[in-house]
Amino acid sequence: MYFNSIKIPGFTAPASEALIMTLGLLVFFTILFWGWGFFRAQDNIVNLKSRTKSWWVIIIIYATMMGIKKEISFIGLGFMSFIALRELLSKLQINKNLRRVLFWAYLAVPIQFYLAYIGNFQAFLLFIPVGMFFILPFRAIIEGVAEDSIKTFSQLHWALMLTVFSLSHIAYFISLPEIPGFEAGYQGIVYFLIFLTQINDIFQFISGKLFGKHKITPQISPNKTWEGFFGGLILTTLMGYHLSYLVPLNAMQTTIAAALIAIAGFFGDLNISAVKRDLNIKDMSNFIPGHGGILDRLDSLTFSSLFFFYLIYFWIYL
Amino acid sequence: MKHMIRKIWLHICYKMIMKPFLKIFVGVEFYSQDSFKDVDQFIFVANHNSHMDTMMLLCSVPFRLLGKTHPLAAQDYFGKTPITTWLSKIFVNAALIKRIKGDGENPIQMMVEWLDLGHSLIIFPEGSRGTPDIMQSFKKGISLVLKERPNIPYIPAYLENTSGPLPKGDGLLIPGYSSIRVGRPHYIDNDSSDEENLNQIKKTILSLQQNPES
Repeated sequence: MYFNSIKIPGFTAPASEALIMTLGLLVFFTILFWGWGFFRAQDNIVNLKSRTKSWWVIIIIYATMMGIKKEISFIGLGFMSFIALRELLSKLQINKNLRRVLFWAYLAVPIQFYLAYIGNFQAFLLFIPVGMFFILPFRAIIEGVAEDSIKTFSQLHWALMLTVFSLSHIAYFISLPEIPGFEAGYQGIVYFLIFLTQINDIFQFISGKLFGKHKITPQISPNKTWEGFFGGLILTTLMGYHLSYLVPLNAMQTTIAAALIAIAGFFGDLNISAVKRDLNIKDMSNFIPGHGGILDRLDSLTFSSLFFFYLIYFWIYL
Repeated sequence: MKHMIRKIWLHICYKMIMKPFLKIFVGVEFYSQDSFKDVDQFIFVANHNSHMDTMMLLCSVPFRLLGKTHPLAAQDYFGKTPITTWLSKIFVNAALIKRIKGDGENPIQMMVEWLDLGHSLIIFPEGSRGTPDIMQSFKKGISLVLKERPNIPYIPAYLENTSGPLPKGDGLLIPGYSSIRVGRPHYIDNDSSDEENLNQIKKTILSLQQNPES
């Protein structure tokens, strides 16, 4: 599937190949949906149009973050993860007397991405799960507030794990040592992850619309069906198999990785849905007008990034 | 020329630096409904809970009117020293007005003078920042000024949860959520009493809270 023909400056040849393929598909679908909306205005294709639009945003963000400079990738990903954390914490009604503890939780974002930048894997792994776990109570004790402390510590730590710890693994791909003989580099690996996570959403949506009958979790999300889930899983795995030139894995491993991205993405999506249902809100914020917040867009990625990272890490680097 | 420089300077401060900062770091959401269309002069009224309020209101004013929009500030608080006076004039474009009558200066008369020069004002009818999320009784000044110049509309704005990121008495700004909803321009009824006018203004501000986007 990899032709080595055109190269976008700043990207490795396989990554630019994949980018150009996506751009071609996007142009095709944009024209298709525009024409469809023009000639058959009675059909409701708002969802399809808005999905195409958000794919344009995803590809532009990916290209500016990954193609210019390594530092920009870390800062950009750090920002995304900060906004996701802010959206989640602002909905959790943290006790006003614990503002300074909250502030320290935000400080974890630059530190975590700095640790990813310098490539200190042990510190990167330990900082939030262990470090922040013990640092947050320090600040609360200095403040002298006992009220709501169990609730606040659990919420802050959980939010940090979900948004900062998981998303920072995408940044850590950049710091992993290069693999001899592997052309695509971190740009290819990250593209594989983001592309499959996002396309899995679409495959699930389409197969759910076409064949969906049996609901999986009507309480959490009434739109998810077994048919949609398996349709997404099969199509994403096939798509992953064809994109194997982006990852340093053999055919068998690529298939497993793609399937795992589909499954983890599905659970990540439902995890955020459950949170929103619990808080009784539809979107995390209105950061992207018409599309909700950043965390609404990155919901599948919060789980798939972590699982995919450790799969690559255990197969290649251990 | 001087006015143009001031306009561009405030545009850089508020539209290019402050607004993205508020949106990305603090999590402020801006909603408006073409509020400033066909308006050349106005009085901006809003509820008041935090120092962030003035910043958010200034960020909502369009470039065309930005140089001539002045938040009303108390002389005895912001004009304490020459440095704070200078800072509030350069960075906030503030109109410093004495709260207490005396020295022959009537605050209402001074506000009317600003309006007669073609300027617009930002007024918090509650006076001070007060207790978070509880609307205090409005001061009569806003009604008196609007009665003097009934051809100038007031534009209501509802500020939600601004005391969350930056509460009164705490200098540490913490990311969170807050929003500003700017409504359509309204005119007061010149025959009504001050009380009725204040109730009317209060109602238009609070109606923005219930009706998020319509």
